[in-house]
Amino acid sequence: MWIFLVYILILLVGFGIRLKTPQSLRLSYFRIFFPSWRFFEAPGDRLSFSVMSESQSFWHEVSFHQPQRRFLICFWNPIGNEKMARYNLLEHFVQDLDATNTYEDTELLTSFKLLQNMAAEEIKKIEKDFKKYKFKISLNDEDDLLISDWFLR
Amino acid sequence: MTLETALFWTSRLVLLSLLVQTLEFIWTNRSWSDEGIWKFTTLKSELATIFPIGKIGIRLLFSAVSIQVLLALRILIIAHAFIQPNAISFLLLLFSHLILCWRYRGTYNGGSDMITLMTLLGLSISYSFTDLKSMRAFGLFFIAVHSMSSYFLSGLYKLKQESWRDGTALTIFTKKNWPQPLMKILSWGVLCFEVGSPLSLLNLNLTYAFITLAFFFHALNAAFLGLTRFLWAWAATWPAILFVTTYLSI
Repeated sequence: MWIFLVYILILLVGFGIRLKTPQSLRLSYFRIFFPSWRFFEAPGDRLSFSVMSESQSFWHEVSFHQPQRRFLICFWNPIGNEKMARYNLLEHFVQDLDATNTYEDTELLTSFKLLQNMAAEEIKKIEKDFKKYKFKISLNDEDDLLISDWFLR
Repeated sequence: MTLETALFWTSRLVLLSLLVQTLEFIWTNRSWSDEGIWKFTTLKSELATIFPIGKIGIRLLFSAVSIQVLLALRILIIAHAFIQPNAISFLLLLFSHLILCWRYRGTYNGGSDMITLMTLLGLSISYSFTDLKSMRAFGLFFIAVHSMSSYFLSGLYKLKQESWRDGTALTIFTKKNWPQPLMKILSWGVLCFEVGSPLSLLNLNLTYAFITLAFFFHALNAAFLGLTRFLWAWAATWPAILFVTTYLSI
């Protein structure tokens, strides 16, 4: 009982605080216990994720758009929800990026490795027998936040 | 709405929501499989840093096979709880919900995961105290407070933004090129609905009106923004709000 009362007290205090960037990895994992209800507060920057294979030498932008609207989508949307999780991963990485100084540091981030997995999966859709690939993240279709090195399959 | 009726509907709706979530995870199993983006081999060292339970413990909780087993068990627990809701089932569902969220490094779909956790916490409290009416009611209050604050605070934060007050935020989020005056009206509709939500606790008629509006609000969010899990997750909290209004009006 007391544990729950203390928990509620922490939640009430927490309502006034917003952690823009997770202060630590552990906090980021346990943020679910301290909900933030800031939904669609303000239009933010648009992030885009593009991939390239060695043989194709042009960037292919990955779509995070929701599947075509249908009535059923109000109740069942596994693909759309997964796309949302992918975009959240991209946003998570951009937050992590602020805390790194060098590309070598960035490569060690788990979010970077997950994006690398995502890039490999996306390249596979375009070219089954790819050998090398890389990815880039851009802000508002203008600034490239990161262009990765080439990765072997 | 009586305590027992509210518990009946809250538990059934959250179980339905969890069933949809579970089936969606099974449908998109590639993402958490050993071939997918969130593969165990990529995540295991980070998980070991967060949870000091040893390599075997991490594998037992988070490997692809474990997630497969967890999802299958979840369906069984949901079915059992649907027939006979009880504290152990809700605590197990809460635990499985956390495992799935942690597998995606915190949350899978943000807000809907958070409100689902709050609902499961509230129901776990209510069903843990079968003989203590005050604690059963406390669980529902816990859910209702979170649900209400989610609408109210979300509206309050939006209200502070010029882009919401002039309607441009809604144009950007919905990607619809509708006339600006119409967007401004719709935008203020959202703001009034969210910020005014606590007023619905004044009497039952207002609560029913609020829930009707909330249903259309979430259905439109699902249709325009793809936030389908939000509709299910928040719907599960509405009976708790009805209970709180009834309780306050006595």
